[in-house]
Amino acid sequence: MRWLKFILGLSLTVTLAVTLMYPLDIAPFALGKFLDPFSGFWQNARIQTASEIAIEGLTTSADVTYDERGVAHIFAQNDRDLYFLQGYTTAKDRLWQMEFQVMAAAGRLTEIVGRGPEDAVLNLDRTNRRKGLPFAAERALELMRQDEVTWTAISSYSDGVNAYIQSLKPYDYPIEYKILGYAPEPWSPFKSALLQKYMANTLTGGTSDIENTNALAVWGKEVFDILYPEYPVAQEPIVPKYTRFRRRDFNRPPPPPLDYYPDSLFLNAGETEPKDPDEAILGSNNWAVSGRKSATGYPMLANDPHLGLNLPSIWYEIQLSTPDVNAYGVSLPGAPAIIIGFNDSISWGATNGTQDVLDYYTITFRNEQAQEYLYDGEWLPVRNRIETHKIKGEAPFLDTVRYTHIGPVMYDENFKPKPMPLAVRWMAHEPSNELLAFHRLNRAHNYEEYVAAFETYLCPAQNFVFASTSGDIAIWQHGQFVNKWNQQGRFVLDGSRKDHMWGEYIPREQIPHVLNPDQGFVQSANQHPTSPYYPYYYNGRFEPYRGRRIQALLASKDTLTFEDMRAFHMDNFAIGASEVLPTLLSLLDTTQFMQQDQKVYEVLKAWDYQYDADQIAPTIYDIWWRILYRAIWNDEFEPLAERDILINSPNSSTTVQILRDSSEFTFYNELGDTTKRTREQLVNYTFNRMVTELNEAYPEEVDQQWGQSRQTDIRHLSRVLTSFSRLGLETSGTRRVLNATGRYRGPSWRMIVMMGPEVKGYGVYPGGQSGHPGDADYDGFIDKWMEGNYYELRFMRNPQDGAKEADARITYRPTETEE
Amino acid sequence: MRFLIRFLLMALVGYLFGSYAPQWSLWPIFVGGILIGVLLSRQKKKRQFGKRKMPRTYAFWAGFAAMFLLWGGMAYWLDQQNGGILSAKVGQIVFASSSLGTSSDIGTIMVLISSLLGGLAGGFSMMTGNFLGEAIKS
Repeated sequence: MRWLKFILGLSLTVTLAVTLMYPLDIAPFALGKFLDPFSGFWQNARIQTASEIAIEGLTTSADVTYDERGVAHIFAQNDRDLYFLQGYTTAKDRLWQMEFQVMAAAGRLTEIVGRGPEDAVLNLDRTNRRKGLPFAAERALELMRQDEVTWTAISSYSDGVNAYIQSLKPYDYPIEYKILGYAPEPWSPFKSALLQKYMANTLTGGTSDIENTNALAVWGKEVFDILYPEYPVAQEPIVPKYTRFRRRDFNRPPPPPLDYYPDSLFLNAGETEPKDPDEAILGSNNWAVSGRKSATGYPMLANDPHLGLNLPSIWYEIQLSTPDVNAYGVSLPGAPAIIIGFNDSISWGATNGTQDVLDYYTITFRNEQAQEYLYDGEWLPVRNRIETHKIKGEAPFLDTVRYTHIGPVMYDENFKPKPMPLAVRWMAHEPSNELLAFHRLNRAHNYEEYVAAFETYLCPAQNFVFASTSGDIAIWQHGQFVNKWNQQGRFVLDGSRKDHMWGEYIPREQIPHVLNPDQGFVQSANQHPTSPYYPYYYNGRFEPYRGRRIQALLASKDTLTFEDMRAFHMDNFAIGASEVLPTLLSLLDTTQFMQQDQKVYEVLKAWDYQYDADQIAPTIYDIWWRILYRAIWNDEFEPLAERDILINSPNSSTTVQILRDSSEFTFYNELGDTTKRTREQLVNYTFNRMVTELNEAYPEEVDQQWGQSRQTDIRHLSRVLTSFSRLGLETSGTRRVLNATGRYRGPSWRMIVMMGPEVKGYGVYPGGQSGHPGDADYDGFIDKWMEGNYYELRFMRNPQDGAKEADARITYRPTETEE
Repeated sequence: MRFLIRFLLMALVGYLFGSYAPQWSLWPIFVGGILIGVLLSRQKKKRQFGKRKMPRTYAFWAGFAAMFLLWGGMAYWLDQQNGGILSAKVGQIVFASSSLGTSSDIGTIMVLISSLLGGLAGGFSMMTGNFLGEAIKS
């Protein structure tokens, strides 16, 4: 009897132990371990304080001052210690994010979260590997290993991250590890190289080659040129219009003799949703104003790179100082040096270059084994690279990727098959050393050193704006570009033809750039870098409006101030709406208006085309535009999408252009309807549909402000941990205005730098320095960011400079080694 | 008295292992609880029929109370350190699909849940130890 009780009790206890100590089906973590206040998530609420820390790997003592916002100001004696502490400090605040981003780039997310619903995660991983991200990182690393300065930077950074990881006990791990049930791996220089390729993929990994090829085959050349014009009618390129570039001994190659467009290729990417070409638009701005035009007499520089908005933020603010350098700005968690920022003498910022540097090539295999492919009349062997995907809780998945001299065969019979296998040629595959460029840029004192810093910078090409205290302003589209024949790379190319291969690179002094132009300012906003008279061919997904807007704003005044810079960052004026709405309203038949029609009409008529959070007109206009856009294009494009033909409908600026200029146009008509529909009928019809929609949504009165109807979500990087996100922010702006804020994207770092004897920087980003969701610093900057205000950046000369009570200083010293 | 000794020993084991070997989490509680239960179990005198002075439930409650208070106290102390920010966010994740997830007291609920889990582990293990002791000694 007593033994029976014991056995009963024991089985209860064992059941409880197993339930608490092992992960259940419902969660990846063990409940007991997770809730254990000595080792579980509660430990992440602990406040850590230390003023002196000994770490192995430092060569000499160094100070890190954390200011009142949690920004680390590192004061080291040499580059080795500087980058060591950058790695250590960044890991302390952002370890989980650093590793997660790199796991994504490496195509290893399945190790953390499994293959995902309908293999979504596995397919994402396979895409990144088949696109050659790890391959590109390996090649870059090999090159970086050969340069002593670079290798010191990247290996010291890695040592610093690892010193931090080694100081952790499992109960110290960032909370995401505890929730997702895994542990951090050691860092390595390879991972920093992967991060570099991750950014290259974010900024240059997209292309419309397949969509363009299909569109050309579907519509024919004549219609294609109307729907997808290469160069918008109105444009303000980065390099002022009449800048000369041509060099006598270097010319654009002639196009191949035969028709070079692949015909009747209905390439299916396995994605059936019709794509809105505006959806992916990121949008960034930067500009510099010369001392002549600036109220202070010294140049001013502004930058707001727009990216997907996440928590923890993509940027990590930091100051890096040794006796040889003192730079402040934002860094990417996972890579050494500062990417955007300033030092004593110069400031710089970046926007995406947006040129197409990724091209698809059809591959003709000799037979089903697909081990030989046709090139220039010969059969060449492929190199097989076997990608092993470890999957959480399952056997590994093996994927063979064939490499040609062009690049990896991304799509073949094993992955999202197309009518022909496609290899990818991408500038990011070229061995390159972007890191050295940033290292040198952080230390540059003048224009010459700024230009020289980018010698090793290939991809992702960025418009780097520049200003110096000595009075120069400039902008360069730094990066490497191929001298292409007209239209080369706009469509899928033929991998068997020699004349379809990438040729020479454009000499560096011929890439788009300008120094101290007469207008007294330089600007970029992802638009065409040059006018159509630039001697070399390029294509890309350029933005037509923001460049025009910033050009007009900067030219509108003789003298510009800090307040102007700030106002331009928050400018919500929509050129597109301003160009088309008056035409639309003038075509409405107001005699038939009911009360609600009249009200809506009046709100739109009074609108100043500003997408302010508290305005109602943009809410209305956005609905009308959506209905109108679909009425024009969807009847033709949806059936194509249903047939799995990957194709883009024309973008909104082209649509604006057509609507404004053409009263009759084949696409206005409803497909299959033989009676012609005029623009006037289309406008009235869609207006009525909009009012009906509004009546249903707002029976009383349309009272929803733009900020409420669009909203911005800053999501936790995992996407699934919603309480670590900040959702439903009522922000101003929209894509294609300067303050290009969307649902998931927006200004990821706003910075204004006032050059002068004492450089002053201002900045804000929608997040916080700490990547730990339990910290008050996790999302503390968001309110300031929404208001359009900035923090004054504390550019310190020494660890005690301007000391405040809220500062915390840590002295790091090397561990004593036995002599 | 015996209750107090059980209580204190359990709390001590929980605190020491929690502080110095946190990676073992609840295992020392389970093992320690059983051991304490065995050691402090009462030898049954055969003549004292129906007159058990220390029913097994006391063993359970001693272990339960010790761990409930230890884990609850520790969780509460940590929660205070960051003003309840983290417990609220974690609570929303754990209870994402229930109405509890939106409760403003979700942080307190997380403290209570932690306490309860600790308490159950302490209670059941000590009860089992006590049964074992009784079974051996009888």
